[in-house]
Amino acid sequence: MRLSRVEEEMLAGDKGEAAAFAMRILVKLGALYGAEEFQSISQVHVDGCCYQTAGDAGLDFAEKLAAMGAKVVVPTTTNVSGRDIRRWREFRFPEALAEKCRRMEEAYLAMGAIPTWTCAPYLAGPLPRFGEQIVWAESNAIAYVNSVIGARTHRYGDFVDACAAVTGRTPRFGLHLPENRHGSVLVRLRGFGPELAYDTSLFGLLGYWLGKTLGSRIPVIEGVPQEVTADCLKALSAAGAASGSLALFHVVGVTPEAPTARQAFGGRKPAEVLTVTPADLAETRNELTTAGGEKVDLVALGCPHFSYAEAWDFLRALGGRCVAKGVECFLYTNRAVLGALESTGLAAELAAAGVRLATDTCILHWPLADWNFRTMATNSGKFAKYAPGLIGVEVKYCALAQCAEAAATGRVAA
Amino acid sequence: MTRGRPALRYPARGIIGGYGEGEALVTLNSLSFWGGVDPSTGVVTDAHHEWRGVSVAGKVLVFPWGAGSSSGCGVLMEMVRCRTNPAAIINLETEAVLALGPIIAEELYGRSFPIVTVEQAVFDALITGDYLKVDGTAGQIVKIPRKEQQPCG
Repeated sequence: MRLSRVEEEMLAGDKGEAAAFAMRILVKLGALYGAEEFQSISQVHVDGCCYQTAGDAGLDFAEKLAAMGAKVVVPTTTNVSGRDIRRWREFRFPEALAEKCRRMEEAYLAMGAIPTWTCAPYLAGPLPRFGEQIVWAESNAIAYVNSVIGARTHRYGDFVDACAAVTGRTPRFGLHLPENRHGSVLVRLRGFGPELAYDTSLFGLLGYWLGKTLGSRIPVIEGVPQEVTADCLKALSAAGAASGSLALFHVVGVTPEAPTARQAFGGRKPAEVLTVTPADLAETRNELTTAGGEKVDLVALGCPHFSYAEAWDFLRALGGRCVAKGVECFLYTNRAVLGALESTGLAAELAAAGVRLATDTCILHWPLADWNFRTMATNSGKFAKYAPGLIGVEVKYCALAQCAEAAATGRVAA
Repeated sequence: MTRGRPALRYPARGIIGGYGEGEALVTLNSLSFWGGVDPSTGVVTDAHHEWRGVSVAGKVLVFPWGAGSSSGCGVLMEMVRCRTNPAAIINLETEAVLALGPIIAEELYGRSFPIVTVEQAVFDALITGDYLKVDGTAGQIVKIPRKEQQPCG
């Protein structure tokens, strides 16, 4: 790899111990992927800041870097913490675990990161523009920022994100390069109605199907209405990055690198053409629904963190009803969205209906043994994939309106 | 246990150098370490995966490519810390998400495990139960086939 003078100095330790440590890891990463040189990046989203995910190894990494005096050199946002930082006690969160979470948060704050604590940094800012070179980790955020905004990040893992934040550099490889961003598989949607413009749960299923079917191949999706909501594309990003390695997708007429299918494929022919019908997605829905019967005792929303519009839609779907006795309804979001919900009174209305809002984290990171939940209703493909393994609940995968029904009645029609 | 059975050699591309050996676990499904493997024990917890309940600690894992959250790397580091990591990983294609785990583990703990990629024909030749010696530095896999594959017992 060719290194600039500044990069050589960093590697040699002239810019401090932290920059040298970070540069060693970045050089190895670059070598792995055949990168010829480094490039500057303008912002970073770090994903390694949740203790329950990164473990003691992740805490070792963060504290080691912070102890070396590491400081971020570009605006750097933080992914979720393991706890709701302000209200963890309300959620029966164990003291010892909260302490580990606090140490992890401290380490990143000491480096100068912005405490956004969200898996939806695209709902919190600072936002990159189209074509901007960035380093984002957190799989759903990567897919979203690459596809919907058209900024350029590879699919990064935890920790290398912090290395990029400390050096302001990343190897030039993968999805940073325009020639690697063209689609390879044409996906035609057939037989769907107008709900394809707004039903986020359909996009969770489509994302799950795509991730599972395509691995890391880049799909060009045809047949999505031009007025499709950002929340639908967010649901697709999250589910596709959970079931597979979806890091970039193009939606013809919707996403910025796909004004036409031809442009999305970079003038080449698709390597494969697939058709997705409502029947395919019904099959995926059955796969994600592990629970039998109608009874639900948990409704979990906000994976990725709910947008203002999603919270508003949910409140409307509740239609003045309250969360039923024997049911808990958690709605996860970030502090930016919560601020907006508070300013318009929606947060108070949700709370009055018995919906419990939490920020900075989500249920996948919570020890739930005390709660005795059995069956979770959710409209998130990512929650549905991970919940049985991580928190031991069965899943009912359903649309947002059915989630509201489940919250209000404790039942979902089978 | 493996003595006397003929060894087969296959070329591989070393993604992460080093040496590891153990019994092969082969799947055609991708594997997500985050949310899919408990790093304290090495046991697969992903309800949707055929390896659910199986420990990957000390095994040579053969799967086509990684899947899932970008936190997979942290889980691999934690597995190295807890000594529940696989002996080696063999993929058709390895992503940054996976490769960074052993790279950073090496920086933090001074130990790690190899990852190699192979061609489809080599991938197809590996079977659960084979004993595999993976050399990520030299770029080679040595396979001692599991017993029932032997033509003359």
